[in-house]
Amino acid sequence: MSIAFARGVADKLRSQIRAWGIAPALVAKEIWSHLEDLDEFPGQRTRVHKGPLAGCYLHQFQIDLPPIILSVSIVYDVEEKHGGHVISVLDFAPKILQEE
Amino acid sequence: MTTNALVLETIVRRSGRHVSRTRLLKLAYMADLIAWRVLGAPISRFNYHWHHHGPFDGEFYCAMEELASARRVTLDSLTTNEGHDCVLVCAATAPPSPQASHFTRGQIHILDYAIKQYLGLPLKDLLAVVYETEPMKSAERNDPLPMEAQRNRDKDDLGGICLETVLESREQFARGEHVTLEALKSEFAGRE
Repeated sequence: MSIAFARGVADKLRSQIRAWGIAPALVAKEIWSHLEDLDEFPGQRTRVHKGPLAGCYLHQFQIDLPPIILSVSIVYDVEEKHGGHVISVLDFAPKILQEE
Repeated sequence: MTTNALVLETIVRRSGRHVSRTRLLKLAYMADLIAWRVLGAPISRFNYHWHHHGPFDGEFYCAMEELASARRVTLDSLTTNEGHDCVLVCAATAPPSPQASHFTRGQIHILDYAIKQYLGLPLKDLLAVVYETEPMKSAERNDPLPMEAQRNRDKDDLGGICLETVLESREQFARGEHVTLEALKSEFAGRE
């Protein structure tokens, strides 16, 4: 059971968090909790069924981090390895829904 | 070699078999439509118009002529069992094009996806799919198809996820270039 980010996605996450100017640990904590839920509760995983991304999993959620509300989409692969699951995060697309 | 010719050659080569000329243009159209929706831009430079045999651009014949003249493909005319005249396009046995990198990962992935989805369909079923696409349904006879209206439709539905990034990420994972959640957690924990 493990979760990993592709190098480019990790870089994107770091620079995005810097750009928002929010305490990195706060954003990270919200994102981690969603990822860990996906790891723990496979029933929450949603597979993409059509188009060139068919087979990947998509998770979309909102994060409330005053003064902003973020909508985050994450696409990932799940692979069975050594009796557990490996989640590979392939892209991370955040959008600011509301900025006070 | 023009982009249009390279798109057609790539489809024929990656199909691994002959492709009828009618089907080839429909495959290019479906790939372009998907590319508009997923990448925000087409792969070819065809300007599709509503035509009674499906989306069409006269440039298709120029691209075919370009490929045939350069001996990148061969064209064989035949009559089908149903009595229809047909031209089959086959990739020449020349070595792979040195311009294979003309296309991005995402464009190649979409061309392969279109081939996988539509190459094996009977032509009448493929035409039915093509006619049901939004640009074909929203255009009048002989009009240009409003392809730009499809820009990023699927990408937006996925919240802005980028196909090129997804494919690049898979390559990074294959090379062992990744960061574990635990490592990122530790990194961010030190930046309260």
